[in-house]
Amino acid sequence: MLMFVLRRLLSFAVMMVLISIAAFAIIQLPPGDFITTLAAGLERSGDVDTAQLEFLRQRFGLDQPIWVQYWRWISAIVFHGDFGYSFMWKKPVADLIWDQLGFTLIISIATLLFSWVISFPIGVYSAVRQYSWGDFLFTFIGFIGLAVPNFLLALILMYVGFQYFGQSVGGLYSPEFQDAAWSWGKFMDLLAHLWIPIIVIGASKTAELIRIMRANLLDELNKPYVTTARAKGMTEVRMLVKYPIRLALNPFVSTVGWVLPSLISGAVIASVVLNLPTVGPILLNSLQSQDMYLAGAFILLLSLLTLIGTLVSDILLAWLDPRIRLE
Amino acid sequence: MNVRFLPRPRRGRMVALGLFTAASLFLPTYVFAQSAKAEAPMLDPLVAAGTLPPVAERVGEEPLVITPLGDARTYGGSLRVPLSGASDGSHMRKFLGYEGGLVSWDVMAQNVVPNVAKSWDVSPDGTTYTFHLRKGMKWSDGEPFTSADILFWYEDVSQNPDILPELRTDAFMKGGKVVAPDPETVQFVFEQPNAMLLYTLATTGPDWVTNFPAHYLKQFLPKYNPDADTQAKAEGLGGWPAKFENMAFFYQNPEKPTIFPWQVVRPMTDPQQVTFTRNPYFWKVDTDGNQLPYMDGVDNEVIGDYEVMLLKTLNGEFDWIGRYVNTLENKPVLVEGEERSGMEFFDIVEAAPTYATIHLNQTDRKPALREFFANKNVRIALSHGLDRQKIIDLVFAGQGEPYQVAPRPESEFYDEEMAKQYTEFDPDLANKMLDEAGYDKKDADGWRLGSDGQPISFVLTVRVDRKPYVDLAPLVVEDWAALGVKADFRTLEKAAYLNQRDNNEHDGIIEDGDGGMIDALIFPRAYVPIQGDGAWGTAWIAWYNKVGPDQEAPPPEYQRGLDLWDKMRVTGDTAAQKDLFRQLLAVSKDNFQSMGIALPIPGYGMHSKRLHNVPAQTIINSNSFGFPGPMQLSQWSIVTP
Repeated sequence: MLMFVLRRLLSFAVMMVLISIAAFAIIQLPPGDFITTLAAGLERSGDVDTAQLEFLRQRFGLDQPIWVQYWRWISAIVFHGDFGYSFMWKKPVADLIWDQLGFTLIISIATLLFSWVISFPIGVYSAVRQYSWGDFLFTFIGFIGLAVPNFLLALILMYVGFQYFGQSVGGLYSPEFQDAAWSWGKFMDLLAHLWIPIIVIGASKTAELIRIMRANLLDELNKPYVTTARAKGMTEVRMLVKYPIRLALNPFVSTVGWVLPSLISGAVIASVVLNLPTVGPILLNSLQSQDMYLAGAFILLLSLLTLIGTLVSDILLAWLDPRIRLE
Repeated sequence: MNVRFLPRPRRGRMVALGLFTAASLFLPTYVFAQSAKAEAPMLDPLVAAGTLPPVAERVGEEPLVITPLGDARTYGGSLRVPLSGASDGSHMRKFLGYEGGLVSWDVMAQNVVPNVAKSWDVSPDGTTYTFHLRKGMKWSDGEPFTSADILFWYEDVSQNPDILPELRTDAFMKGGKVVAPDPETVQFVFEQPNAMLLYTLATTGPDWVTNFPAHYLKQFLPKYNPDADTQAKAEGLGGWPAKFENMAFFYQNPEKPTIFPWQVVRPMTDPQQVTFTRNPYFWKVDTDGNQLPYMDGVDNEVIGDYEVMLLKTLNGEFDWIGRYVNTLENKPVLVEGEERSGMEFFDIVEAAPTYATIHLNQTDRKPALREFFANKNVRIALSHGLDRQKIIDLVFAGQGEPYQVAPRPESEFYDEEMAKQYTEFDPDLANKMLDEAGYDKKDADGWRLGSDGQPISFVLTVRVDRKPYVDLAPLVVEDWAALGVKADFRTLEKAAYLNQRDNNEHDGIIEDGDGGMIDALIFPRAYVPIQGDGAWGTAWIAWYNKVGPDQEAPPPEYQRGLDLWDKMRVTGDTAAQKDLFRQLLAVSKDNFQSMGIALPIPGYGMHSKRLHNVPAQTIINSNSFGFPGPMQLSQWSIVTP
């Protein structure tokens, strides 16, 4: 087991290097750079001086070849923990990212728990009562959940919240709690806002898990050991929990590692629409304005979290399912 | 009221008392020497506790007296406005960073009026401007505001090549310098007469020359603090310039002293809300001697998505909508939701003469296209070939009338002929003109052939973030195809688009309209090739500014416009300057360098019912005028029923 973890950690490091190179290269792909974007903004006020812009390009090192820029960036991170400087916010990147990552983790974990809590019983029910009315109903809802893009769901829910409940839409707090210290009221206000993003971001995930749970459990239910257990007079519920469900749990555990990347890629638009202070909108923004160190830092950290998530889920799986070999 | 566009250079003191006679309801009036008598209740305890000196001391001996634009005189409350994110520094500049200029526009952007400077004199030759500052004026930390602060901007910021151009705003100081004979006097001295200085100082950008508290910012410059660079690096910033900039933007740094009505509390880095609170040393009072601002603070809620902004507006969560949401297409929804949102509409006068302008690059790198576009009759024919009414109906909800790039009807430079020339839709005439221009041969598919024997084919580039242009481009392409002229359109991301344009790699471009009001006199980029926006002659612009690729002298007819502009800039006499501008317009009318589409109808904005002292009609919405800054946000008042 220890060897397994060590080996994984080693490949981890290689992976991170590759990811950092790929991320940096992709950020640099679009034409122009941050200075072009800056010039575009200044253009309106009519005082752009090309010589000035060239000077700034030098100051930020944007005139250097890409590998020089990459080395400067990555060496500062590795040796000094310095993530560089955000051109747009005019702040060190390190000052900017932690708040957003915190919120992202809160929402991710809440969404993950939500989708587990909902999908687990429904999946089991659908499998055990296959082709019942309940199964059809949940299958129907599940397919809708899979099919509706989450930003659309976000807009619909927000409209409903606004039109029929008079709720302040978007964001995580009502305006009056924005600055308030933590209190019961603020907590309840947070909960009142949190349900929309959780449903929006978790909907397709939940639907997916319901389907997987149902399919896996159905596979198991037809196996001889189930018949044996029944023949020996084991109660249905005890038998279900003790054997087939345990085996069918694999997908729940193995997807822990995917939650972060799917939140980032899938939920960017939903986060923008819902005005959530997660990394999604800020990452999108930094990519659009070619604020490369900020974008790079986010991508790097998210990759790291994803790799950690994958490692954790691998370990959990190995522990949960003795059939998985560590070789 | 006598509308004066440029204070005539005159001997002696040009005090603003003349403006006190302003008859207009909406103009704030300015008088001097009235001391402050009252202050916001939130400050009373601080004064009682001795933390703050009494109000009369704080505002100084010569506060600027402002007549509020309505009857409300109530202190308190916070203004709630949306903000689209950190990239929107221009919201900060125009909304919360406008009230500290040396001089200011008045509400309708007709005159330049005193602000930080209580008065000014201009030398008879127009080379020296002497500004008199207010006695006893203070920064928000209580330190005196003096001419040394402006000198600091000039010497240590504007002339410092290591600092961001956005902060330096030194372009207008070419051939000039700043001197400070005494703490209450500052002089701008130029080698040549500078007729534009007062306008320039009132526009966003140069209005920030007063924005640099020397006593605070010196610590971040290596010149005054040898350790500045090391300290900045220790904080993870690349060097002292980054640190300095970080500390110098008023919306980034809560510690920086300010002369604006409000001081930032939660800076722009906050992903949710950027908040401001009152500056206890603000140096403006109302006519009853109440210290301004009335409102305790400003809350900018950060919202990335415009649809969310719209929903929140409908939900009545904002006090002021002057950007983002107030589009033509949102108006029906907002009118319908008026009751729920509790907001009132007001008119915003437009500065643009046309919703969009089509520039055809007369300095195109492809010789055949260059020849085609440079032919004035071709441009006239293409203009006649556009069905503008159809574009207005389909893209602009039927609002507007066909119009060229020309002064708007409200402008004193309005010329109906210039505005309407070649706007009637007449494909037969267009075809005839193209035939006569030598483009009568066609290929098998019916496309006209250029001088190189190949079909004329070019690309119109459109910025992807300008939705109406993306919508109208296919209509233009279709109309011109009917004439046998093959155009295609391509959308590009903003930065890529500007990159292409400024490198002279474009054939044609659909861009904003510009040049409808007095902003054109200050900077006539719509009419002469002086700045990248005039994408009809990019190589000429490069030549004129001596930067950029393909530098090339313009032909005589365009050179004439440039000569007139150069002359305007050194002509101090208002009448003579306007006369030159009329000549410049005549040259442009004759050149017909680019074509307009339609005259935009006035825009609109909204404010909550609890927000008072907002005029029913507001100034030109243009960057030059810092909308809505000139109406003095410090005199807005929140009255909760």
